[in-house]
Amino acid sequence: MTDGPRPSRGESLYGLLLLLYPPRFRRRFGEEMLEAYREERARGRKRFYAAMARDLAVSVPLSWARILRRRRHEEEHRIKAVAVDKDLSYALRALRSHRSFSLAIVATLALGIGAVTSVYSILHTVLLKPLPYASPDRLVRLWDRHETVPYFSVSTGNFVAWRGEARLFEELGAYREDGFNLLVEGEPLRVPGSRVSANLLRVLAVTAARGRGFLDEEERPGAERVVLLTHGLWSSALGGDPEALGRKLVVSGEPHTIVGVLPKAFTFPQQPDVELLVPFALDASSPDRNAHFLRVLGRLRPGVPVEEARAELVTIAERLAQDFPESNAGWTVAMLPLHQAMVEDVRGGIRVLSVAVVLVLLIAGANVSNLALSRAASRSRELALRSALGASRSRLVGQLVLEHVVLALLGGLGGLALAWGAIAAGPSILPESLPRQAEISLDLNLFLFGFLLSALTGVAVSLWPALVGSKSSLVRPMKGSSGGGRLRAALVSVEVGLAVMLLVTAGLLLRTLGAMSRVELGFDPSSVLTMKMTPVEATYPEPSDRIRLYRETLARLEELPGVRFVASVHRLPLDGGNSSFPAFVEGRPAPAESRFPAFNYRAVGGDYFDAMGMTLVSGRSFDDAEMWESGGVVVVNEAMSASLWPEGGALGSRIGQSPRGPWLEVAGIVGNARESSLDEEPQAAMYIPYSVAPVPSMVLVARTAYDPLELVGPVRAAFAAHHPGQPVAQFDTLRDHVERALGPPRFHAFLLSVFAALALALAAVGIHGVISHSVRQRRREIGIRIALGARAGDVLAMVWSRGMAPVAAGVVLGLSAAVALSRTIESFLFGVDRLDPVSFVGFPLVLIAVAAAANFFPARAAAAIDPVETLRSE
Amino acid sequence: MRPPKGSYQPLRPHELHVLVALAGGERHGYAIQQEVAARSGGAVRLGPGTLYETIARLLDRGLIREAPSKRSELDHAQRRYYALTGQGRRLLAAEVERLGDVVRIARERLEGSEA
Repeated sequence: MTDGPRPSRGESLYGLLLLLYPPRFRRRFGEEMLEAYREERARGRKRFYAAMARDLAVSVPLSWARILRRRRHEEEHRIKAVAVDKDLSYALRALRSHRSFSLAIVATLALGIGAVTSVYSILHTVLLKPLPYASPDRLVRLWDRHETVPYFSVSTGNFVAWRGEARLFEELGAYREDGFNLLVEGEPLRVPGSRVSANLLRVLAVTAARGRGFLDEEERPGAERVVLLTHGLWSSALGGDPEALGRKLVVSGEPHTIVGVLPKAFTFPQQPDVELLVPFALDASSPDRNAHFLRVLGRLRPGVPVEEARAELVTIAERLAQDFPESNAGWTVAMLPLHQAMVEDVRGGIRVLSVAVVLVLLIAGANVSNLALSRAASRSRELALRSALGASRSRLVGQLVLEHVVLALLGGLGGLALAWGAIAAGPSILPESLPRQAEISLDLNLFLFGFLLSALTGVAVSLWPALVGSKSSLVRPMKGSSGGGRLRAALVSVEVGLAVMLLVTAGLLLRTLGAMSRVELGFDPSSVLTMKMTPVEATYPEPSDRIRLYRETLARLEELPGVRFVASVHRLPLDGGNSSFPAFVEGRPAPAESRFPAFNYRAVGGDYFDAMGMTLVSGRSFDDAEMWESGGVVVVNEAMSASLWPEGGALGSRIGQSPRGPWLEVAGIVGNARESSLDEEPQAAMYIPYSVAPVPSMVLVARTAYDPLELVGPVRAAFAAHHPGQPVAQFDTLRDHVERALGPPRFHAFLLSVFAALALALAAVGIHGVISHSVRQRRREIGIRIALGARAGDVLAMVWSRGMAPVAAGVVLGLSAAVALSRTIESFLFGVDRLDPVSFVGFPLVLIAVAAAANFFPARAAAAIDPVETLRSE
Repeated sequence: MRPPKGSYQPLRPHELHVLVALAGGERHGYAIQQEVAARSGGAVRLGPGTLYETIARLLDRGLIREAPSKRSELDHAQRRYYALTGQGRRLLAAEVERLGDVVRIARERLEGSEA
């Protein structure tokens, strides 16, 4: 038997012959082939060795042919798969090895994209996004209009007439802002709210999330008292108790039935802080036609144009003017879409920001192109070499595109992070006057837009250098030609021009802010604590009760340690509003146009002028009896004295609200104070004792000898001890109050300064990049000059001045553009000429200095070139 | 039935034999050789080199695969079993149909010429 542990001679030979096969084949099938050999041999096949020899002769070449074909196949596959992978890792390596370049591009893009995305998120929310009510385009805001006041609150009489007669409106509703004192489990609580017409929620097309809205009869005088809560107040004050519906809540000292809770998403139009709604009492049979205090909203019928609806109301107003000439002569109607009414004041500011941010983006774009151009030029040798070594053009272009897309995406990511951060920080930066702030968020579309923008930038930026770079033959880069030099200089000019525009604008706005904060206020805001106290109606129903409460309160506060003067006033300066009434001088004929203009007034209590730090120019202030009991006197400011008594003689004269009196004697004249706004000249104003005008609510004012906020605790303690159940709220310092009035100009100046600083930095990077690149390109030429005897100073001056040429061109361009731009921002300026020399000369000088420095370092490097070294290396 | 797209190369006679053998079930290499020899009445005898080269080529083309479950039970540890893949089965069916057509036409013509 040949079968056994010892292989036969033939088997050993066959084993050796197997070496003829390709190794891979042999390793896989060798054992089995030997096995087959043994089996065949054992069967004693005829002409066995001849058959084996034939088998070998046929199968060995076949096997080799197959293996080789397969190997070639695999190779091709592998190359394709590896190429993309290789390009990516090559791109990352290339970016790492040019770290400063990569960083500059990523930072530039991140800043540009971040600025654009965040500013446009704000713009989109505030200006473009529809209001959060059903069919918001049918909502309008209405005012009374007089030729002296284009937008004035509406009198109850007019509102009742409009609502009863207008046919083109589905609903006309009204409200007025108010604060309410609540008593929740014995704790007094001050809550901002609104008194509304019963149909106001129907105007907004909002239904209560729980319970119901107001019924029409609930706005009639004497109706059962009901209240609607926002979701927020229901959760915070009542713990979101579903059983709260139908329960009584003490509002302003009176129990009110809770009839409903508003949806969570609901915000009150124009006053997002409103937390509670109460129907106002409206006596439709004999409404007041003189007092204008209602804000009126309307919902147009579907398809009714605003103009048509306005015309209808104007007709009604004309009839009212005929029927009630005493109150309505000279009055008509103003009407705007609600959205427009809300954003009207901020539209201009946002537009300026948009322009600024586009300028920043353009600068960023110019800068990135510039950097990419410089780098493509300095890499043209590398590319030429790789092209000569057989890299295909498409491969090189693809690789450059890939590099820049990677950069752009990194930049985009950074930009989105910046935008997210900026929007998160929004509430602390944005001025309070900006509407719809709570709705601002980074929305998904802008997120995608930012990303797409960055990817496209990457492709666009890479295409030009990619084409220039990969087209280059070996000859051009070896000659040291600097292709694109002129283009880069032009880009620098553009960048500098845009930066100058931003700098000048920022300068103008900063100077405005400076002028506003240096404005002579006429009062001293330092070391003054302010707090709001509204006497609870149920406890202090009569004017005499309120007078007594304020008198007692002021006396108690005066005794607190560290308090120098205390006073009360019905509205602080610069709170965004005014109160006024007409004034007639005793013994003079009433002027023809008697109702307007009226004079601003403030009802005051205590030592108002001392507490506010105002100066008494002549005469005296009120004494205690006049203040709280007898009245009969008034203090006017210099502007009012000059207006009514241009010849002097105000002191001792008597004025009244009507030509028939009652009369108030002018006891003193105080200096003018800016009470309406910082950027308007002080208006004529009078100060009347609280006993003459016992308005329902006043702000307490305390001038202290130390940090006013340290007084908050003692004040609370005093209230708890002597007037439990009487809330006192909104503690603030007068300084902060004034600062808030500076909010919008500060915001504009702040953002423009940030943008201008960005522009300055980007321009410096751009200038430096271009000059140092051109110095590298011209090493040889400069080396020869030095070899021929040029002195270091000459070389430095030559390189430096050549670098400054595009900067100079850019400054000239930028200044002319800034002159045009200044016209559009003129309405934001205060106390500064729109061609203010400091802004137009000083701020560009900063840029020129930065540019000179950015130019100096490469120029110095050029002057230090060693000619021998340079020429040898070429 | 149409052959799978793109993979159609005419089958060599040895490849057809191996596929036919495997159409009857999984086999190891030498069992294939024996079945081919038995069916052809000893006319086709695949030498070890030709057998395994054919198997290797069919493996490369994805027409057969190793059947892992059958390895190393009662048989020798190194014996591998092979089975048709779906693609191999389809290709075999297409090839058989084509051959059937050839046979039918040839038979008709031969009968016709005899008549």
